[in-house]
Amino acid sequence: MALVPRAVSCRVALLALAASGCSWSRFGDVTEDTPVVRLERPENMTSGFGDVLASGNLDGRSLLLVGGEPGASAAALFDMGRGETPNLDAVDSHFCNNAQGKCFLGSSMVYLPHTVTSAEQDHRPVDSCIALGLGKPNFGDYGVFFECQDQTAYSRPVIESYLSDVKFALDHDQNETIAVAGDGADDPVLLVGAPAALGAGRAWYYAAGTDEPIELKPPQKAADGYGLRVAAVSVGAGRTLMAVAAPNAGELHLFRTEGAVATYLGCLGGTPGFGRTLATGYVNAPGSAPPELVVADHDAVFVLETAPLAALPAATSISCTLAALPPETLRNSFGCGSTKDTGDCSASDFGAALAVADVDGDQDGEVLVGAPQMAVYGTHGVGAILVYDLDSPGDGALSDVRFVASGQSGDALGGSVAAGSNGSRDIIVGGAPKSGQVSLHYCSSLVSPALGGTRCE
Amino acid sequence: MRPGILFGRRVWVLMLALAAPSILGIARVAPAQIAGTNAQRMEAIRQRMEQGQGLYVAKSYQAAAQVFEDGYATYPYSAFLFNAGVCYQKLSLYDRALAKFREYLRVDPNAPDVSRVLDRVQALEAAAAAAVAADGGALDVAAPDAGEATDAAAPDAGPPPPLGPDDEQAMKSLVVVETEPPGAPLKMYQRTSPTAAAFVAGVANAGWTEVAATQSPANFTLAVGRYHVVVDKFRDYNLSQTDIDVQAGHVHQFKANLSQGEFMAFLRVAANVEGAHLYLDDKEKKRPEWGVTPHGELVPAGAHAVMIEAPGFKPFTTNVEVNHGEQREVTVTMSRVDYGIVRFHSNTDVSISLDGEPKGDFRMGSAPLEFKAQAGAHQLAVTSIGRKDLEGTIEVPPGQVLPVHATMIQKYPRGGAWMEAVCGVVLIGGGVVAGTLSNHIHDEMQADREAGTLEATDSRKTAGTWLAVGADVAFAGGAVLLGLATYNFVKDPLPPSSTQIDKPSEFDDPGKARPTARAPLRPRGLPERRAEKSPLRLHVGGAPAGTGIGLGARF
Repeated sequence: MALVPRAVSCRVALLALAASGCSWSRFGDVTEDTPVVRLERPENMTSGFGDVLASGNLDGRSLLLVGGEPGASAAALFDMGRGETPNLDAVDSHFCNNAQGKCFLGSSMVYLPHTVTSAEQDHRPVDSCIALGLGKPNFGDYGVFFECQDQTAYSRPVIESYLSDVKFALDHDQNETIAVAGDGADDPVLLVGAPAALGAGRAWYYAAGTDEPIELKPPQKAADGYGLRVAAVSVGAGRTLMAVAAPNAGELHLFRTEGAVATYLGCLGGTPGFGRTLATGYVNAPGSAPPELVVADHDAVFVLETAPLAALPAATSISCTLAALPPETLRNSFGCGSTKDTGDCSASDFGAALAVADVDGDQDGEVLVGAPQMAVYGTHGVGAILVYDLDSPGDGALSDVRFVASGQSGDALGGSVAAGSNGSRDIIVGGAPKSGQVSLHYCSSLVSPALGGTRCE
Repeated sequence: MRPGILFGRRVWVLMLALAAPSILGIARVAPAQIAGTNAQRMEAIRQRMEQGQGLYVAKSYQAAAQVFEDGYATYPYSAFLFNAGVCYQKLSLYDRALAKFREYLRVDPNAPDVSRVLDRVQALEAAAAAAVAADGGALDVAAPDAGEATDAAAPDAGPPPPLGPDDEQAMKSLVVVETEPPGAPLKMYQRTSPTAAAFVAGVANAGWTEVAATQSPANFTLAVGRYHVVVDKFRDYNLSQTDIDVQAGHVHQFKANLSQGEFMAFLRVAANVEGAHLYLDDKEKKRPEWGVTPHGELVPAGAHAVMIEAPGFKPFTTNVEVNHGEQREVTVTMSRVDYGIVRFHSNTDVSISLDGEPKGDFRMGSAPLEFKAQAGAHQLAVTSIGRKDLEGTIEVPPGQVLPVHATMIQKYPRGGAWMEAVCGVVLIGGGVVAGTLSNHIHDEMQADREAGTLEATDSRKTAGTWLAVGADVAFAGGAVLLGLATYNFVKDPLPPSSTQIDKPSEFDDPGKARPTARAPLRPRGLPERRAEKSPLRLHVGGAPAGTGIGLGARF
């Protein structure tokens, strides 16, 4: 019960003393339906909660995949629910917990709402599965590890040249991390990158409905770290644009696949760290054009139109440069921006994570850029998620910055980002792996009051 | 024996012989019983006589009789005996009345009214006998009032004369006649006919009867009436004479200076202040004081300057012109000075101020602090370390000492109240700080909420909540403590400091004569209203016209 109306300020405490005092219940009011909520970390996720984020949709339900430290932790599935009332507790947290077989969580995950098991399990249809990383199910072989909500676990084989490394790693408990990406379809084309702790990196993909790994190999030897980040975009007509990055060398190799046929299209890069993070999504409103490819290097983020890239002719040599981009392929490029509350861009690790989300509900997506070392209220390392609403080609102004006001140095919010959904618009999901926190940011300055709901009043 | 026989020439010597013991007795007794000068003694006799007369007129016969009895015991003049007898007769105490009249005849056998007193004795004896016969009891019984019988009603000449009524003029007076030098022959004549001509010495005076012949000094017990005293030629001195109007219950004093052939004047000064110091023709006070009020003395005829002083009163000076043989009474109403003296003492060391002006300090064990103050109301303030201040109004009387005693009460200890107040203020201050911090945190969180960056488990919520709770608790505790402090500041079970103002007293008289204010004396022989009219209240008795060298006056 409030002793005094909230409007009464205790700045006039001496005057208010005669009548009342300070209300403590107002703190309950101000923290009711807060614009930021945090997911509860499952007890079995001991390290790096939020290190890996991926979103999915199962029959209209917005789901969020939260993984821990790659190669060392499990993953959990959260139901974002509808409206403004998320389920803060994981609906399932058994993924990659080694109960269904040996599993090394990858640096990225792909949610498969409806798929089929591998051949060794007779291609049995299963729902709500996740491509988690490398592993060996209890009833399966070494390969890319899948686990479903019904605790079905199965694997898809890796390319032959990589199999011995996988076996060694799993048998000897040597961490081996892969990156997985899908093209967004219910039964997607899956792209796998295996940067490999030892030796050259590899990348392969599985055509839709197949277990056969098809290697994506540049014409010449790729740089170290090849396959550290991967991205896949369906560009229509059964074709998929695939990007495999070797960010240590600043290389991003592009492939066009069509069924089991893969064509090397060339290499983009030339800037330090180019391809350190990749994301895909509709920066333009969904329509005739396919989703855009978003690429980050150490200083900037680039938004590339995928249709022109997919139309590139086959290449026979590697020359990683942005100068070879077709006209109007580079839609936007921008760097870090500061606000009165956030700063220290040069040391912010801008671009550590990328996602595309329709934050303002206007059907086109905004680019979310993680800057985990960004200073908030003058405190370095709190981290923030920078939002860029790129309505037009060439736009690059910072639109909004999301952070947690109570964040502390070392939280490193923005180490991972993802897009959730509340049914009418996307919710910004930020991971702070170093502090093991995942926060849902319901509000943004881009959100209109009509869509803001009670959390954004 | 007829009284008239006694007043023949041959009886003159006998009268002197009889009168001498009386006078000599007075003279003999006076040094032993009466202190003071002759003037003071005469003044004392006069006051007794007038007191008794006043009581008699007021029909307080018993008290009047007692005054006369006491007067005779101190000043054995026969007039006191006669007057006491009349009072007892008024009370129908015949036995006592007879005793007084018989004593009167014994001590003053040559009194001019011996025959009439004998008649009174005879009438009283008869009345007493009749009363005894009627009641068969005590002699002192109620009986009709009786006055003096006439000479014709002697006891041996028939039945006793009836007792006549005694009116206000029944009291006898004492008349003292002196000469300088003494020993001069003198004769006293009584006017027996109201239509008699003025007395002329050396010729037959119809309507006048010689009632006494003796030598000066002499005193007479005379009834009311007009008399004429004649001092015959003596040695080389010429004859002197003067009229005397005797009033009831008075003392008349005459003195003839034979060398000048004139009687001296008698001046008496009374005042509303008893014991005021009188200076006659001595404004610079180089001589001892003339007397203290009331005081009367024979003075040379002429103008006299009379100065009256009394502590606490304004000095008063007046000029009086008196004639030969005149008896003048001057009554003065003195007014007090316009200031008073505050005599202050207390139960502890204090500092005193009056109307904001410091008047000094009083220290325990020392004499009371005295200071002058204008008459009227004043604000008195008394302070003492560790005791409650005292403020109040005192009314300083004019010309008097106002004794003021202050009882200073110790201040009630306030240590607890101060402690509560300090703790209360500290709590309130803490509450303000906590409240301010809580507000700051809330404002920050509100701003963060509005910015969309507030998280539900924000740690500031706990801090802000506890700060708010702490602020409220501090406010409540501080309010309680301040309330208690206020109560304990106001609470005072001890009474306030107080003063006791005693009845004002008169100024100390360096001459040891502490004056006492009294109502102005009412002049004798004058209507009362006259005494109340004059602001100065200077009254001069009328002097009857006289012939020859004497002048008479009433006083």
